Amino acid sequence: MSARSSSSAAQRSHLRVVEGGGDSQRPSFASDDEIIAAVERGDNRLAGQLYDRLIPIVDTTIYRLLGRRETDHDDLVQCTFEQVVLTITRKKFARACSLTTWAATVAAHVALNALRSRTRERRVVDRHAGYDADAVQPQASQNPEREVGAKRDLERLRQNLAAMDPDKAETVVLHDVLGHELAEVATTMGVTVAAAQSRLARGRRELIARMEHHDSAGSGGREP
Amino acid sequence: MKRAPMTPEDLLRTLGNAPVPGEEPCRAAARRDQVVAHLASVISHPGQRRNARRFWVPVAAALALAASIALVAGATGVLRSHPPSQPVAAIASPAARARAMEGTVLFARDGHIEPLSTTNEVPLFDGDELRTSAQGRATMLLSTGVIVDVAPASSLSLDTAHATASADRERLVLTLGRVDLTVPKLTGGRTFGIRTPDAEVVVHGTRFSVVVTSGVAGKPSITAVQVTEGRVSVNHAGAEIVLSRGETWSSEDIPAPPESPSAVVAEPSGSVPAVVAGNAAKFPSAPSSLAQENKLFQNAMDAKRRGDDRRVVSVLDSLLSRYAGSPLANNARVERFRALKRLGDNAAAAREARKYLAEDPDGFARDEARDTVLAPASSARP
Repeated sequence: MSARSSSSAAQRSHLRVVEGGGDSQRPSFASDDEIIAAVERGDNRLAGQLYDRLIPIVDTTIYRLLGRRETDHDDLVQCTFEQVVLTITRKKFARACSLTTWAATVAAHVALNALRSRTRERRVVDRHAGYDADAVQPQASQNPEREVGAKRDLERLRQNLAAMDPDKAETVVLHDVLGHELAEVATTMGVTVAAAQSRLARGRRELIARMEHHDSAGSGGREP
Repeated sequence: MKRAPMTPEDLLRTLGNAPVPGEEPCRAAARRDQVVAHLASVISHPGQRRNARRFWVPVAAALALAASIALVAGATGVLRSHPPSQPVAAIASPAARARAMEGTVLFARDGHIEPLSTTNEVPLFDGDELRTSAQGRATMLLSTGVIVDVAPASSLSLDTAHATASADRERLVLTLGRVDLTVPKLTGGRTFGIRTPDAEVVVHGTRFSVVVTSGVAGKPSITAVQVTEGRVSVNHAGAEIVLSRGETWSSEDIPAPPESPSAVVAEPSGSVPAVVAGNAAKFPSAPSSLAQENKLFQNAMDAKRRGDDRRVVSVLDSLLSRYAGSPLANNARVERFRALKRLGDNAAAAREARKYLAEDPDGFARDEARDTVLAPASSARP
């Protein structure tokens, strides 16, 4: 809606844009601080901009951790945004990192919860039979066997991340998958850098142990 | 040769760099509409929102939550009907009432965005804006009795600030999309108009449609008008063009948007705005047919007494199609939308009620017709 032809902009200057509050006085792209301030005072004019700013990282994070967009993907996206907004309105977001980093953290948290939920469900009903982890795209499929193996490995990784202690799994994901600095991980998880480093080291060890156990047992990955 | 399994470090790195395929644009747009509407609501009322995602919750908690949801839903309905930012004095005289018929519909007031409910009517005031998503539809009933059906992917606002003591002027500003309107006969110097980016349509009592399509590659928007009944004047580029029943006008050669309930006929070629002759009056009333009209109406009433509503609709269809100018036409329309309602076809009942209101805005069944127009059409849909 905001993308209008400039030739008749003058004729439409009396109209306001519904989403994003794109009136003539407002800058086209609000800063993080402006968006956060608007959310804190209950002003929803920047809801559209908040979404547009964060949807790439939210969508990417959820997709990578779950392996594909399932039917509940939109629900998970909405849940992530809702939690981002609520942490801002409840002053739980201390602005120690960027809004994008914060959204990635929340999205990882939401996605890992969903992964655990699916793992529990799979113990009863194998609804993921034939699960196609298409995060690894078949690019010029020269070695299909290798690709299938890589997909299977990634699925194994996801299962083990879901089975891990949540704090340690989240730390590993934020640092090793999303590439956040240790200080950022510490800030977003509300712990000291030393504690974050400890969680990361223990998390990696637990993951390796689980993967080895998974390989030897051939299934599950529930306990190392 | 057997492939060596990747190490956890390699796998984590691969996961972090895994490509993410794009989404279908319409799916992404639909999700955007839904999430932005939800966010707008959460931002406005953070204390009333609970995380309602599909995560496992204990049964006991779910039961407790259900009770609280009922309370919150009631409170939310009240709040949406009377947003806290709206002055109390203004609530007494809304310029319109609106209801979402399907899909996502947003309305904005003073920059605050709220989703429009399919179950509650929302009062609209001067300056309020309405936007429908790609699957959204809404109906507005203006204070003057004008009924506005808002098609998907449309954006419009209310502009009633031009009302004066000598001449009331109610106006909609259509930025994009399509509206179908039923305008009752306006008296006392009142007028109604639709303003688009490149034209203004002024009417005195008619049924018509206005479509605005956004310009492509920097070109200005295009407006198309189709008149179903009555007469409409279009002011464009300093000139006034009067359209009669069945005629259409376009500021440029454009195709009608898809899934239009009554497609706009555009001039097939040429860039000069043109009036196109359309269907003439199809069903002129035949002279000296009163006895036959009475007989048909009586047959319909007999069928009603028997409880045969399908027969009622069928006979009244025959009456209205053969004798459109019959003095019994208004009664026939009332009986027809009542029968359709009894049959559960609320959408058809609403269409018939609109016709009735257009022909007789102060008729005996006015309130019943308005309620029918604004009733959710859920029962008529799967």
